[in-house]
Amino acid sequence: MRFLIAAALLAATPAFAQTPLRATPPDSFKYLSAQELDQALMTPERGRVYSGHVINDHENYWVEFMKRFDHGNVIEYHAHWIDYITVLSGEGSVTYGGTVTGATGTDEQRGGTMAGGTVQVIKPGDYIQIPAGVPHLINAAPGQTLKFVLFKHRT
Amino acid sequence: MTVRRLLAIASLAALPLAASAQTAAPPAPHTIPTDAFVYQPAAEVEALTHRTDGKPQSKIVIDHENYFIEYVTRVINTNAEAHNHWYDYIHVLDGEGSITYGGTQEGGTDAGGGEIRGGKLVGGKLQLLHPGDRLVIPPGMPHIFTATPGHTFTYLIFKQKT
Repeated sequence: MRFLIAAALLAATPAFAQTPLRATPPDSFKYLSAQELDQALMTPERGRVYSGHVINDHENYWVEFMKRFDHGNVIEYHAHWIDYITVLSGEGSVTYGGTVTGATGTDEQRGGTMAGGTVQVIKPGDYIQIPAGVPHLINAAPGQTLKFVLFKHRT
Repeated sequence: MTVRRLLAIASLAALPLAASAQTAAPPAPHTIPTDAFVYQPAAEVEALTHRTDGKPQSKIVIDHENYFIEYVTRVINTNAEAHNHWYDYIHVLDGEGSITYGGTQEGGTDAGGGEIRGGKLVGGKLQLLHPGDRLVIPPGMPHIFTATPGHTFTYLIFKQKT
């Protein structure tokens, strides 16, 4: 039995070392005009009010554009991902930290309610860095549309 | 013992092995402390690359061994560059400029780490750039970023090591 496990281990190890989480082909040169990006953000994500457009998806990082409104946003929590954000247009807020109850998911949590979070108003040109494990809620100000570019990196 | 059973045992047993292999590996790629929560208002971000003497300026806001984030303001520039081991993911923030990309970088020199600088870019393509545009420049592709005469040109780069 022990020998069997050892043999199976030997056979399994290379597969673990070589298989990426998400295998995507190498990125080529790309140019997308501002108009094309806006177009890409016209369709909401499935089951959501807001929309996001992932440009380059790799196992340990991706680049995404997001459009948020003053409603339909949920508290997010990413156990293993850092969010690096630059606000492009519109005004809003990020509420971060605090204690979340009633969220669903484990490593990636969504929803619930937050107690004791800090509110930071955000405007075009602002830079925000949200560490892994910090719950946060990103909202547009009433009547506004908030757009930002997001670099996601796995810790 | 079926093959399926064996595979199940193997995958269970391989997890701790993968973990121990990681501890035995060379030092972790991240050489700077874990990132904290940061908020920088636009005025501060703008100030990072603001100059009144008409010179270019760039500022790295977060720096890791395998990726970093940089704000860059360009003026007129004719120097070609290529990064053999890095992707440039770029978002144009302000001003007007252009990129000439592709072709061959003749006479460039390796400034270290596969960073090729200078020389002449032959056969490149020109793309005008405006705020809101975005770009991906793959490793090894020579390029020249320049502001349009009379303008400055500011963009945000997410640099990722291959």
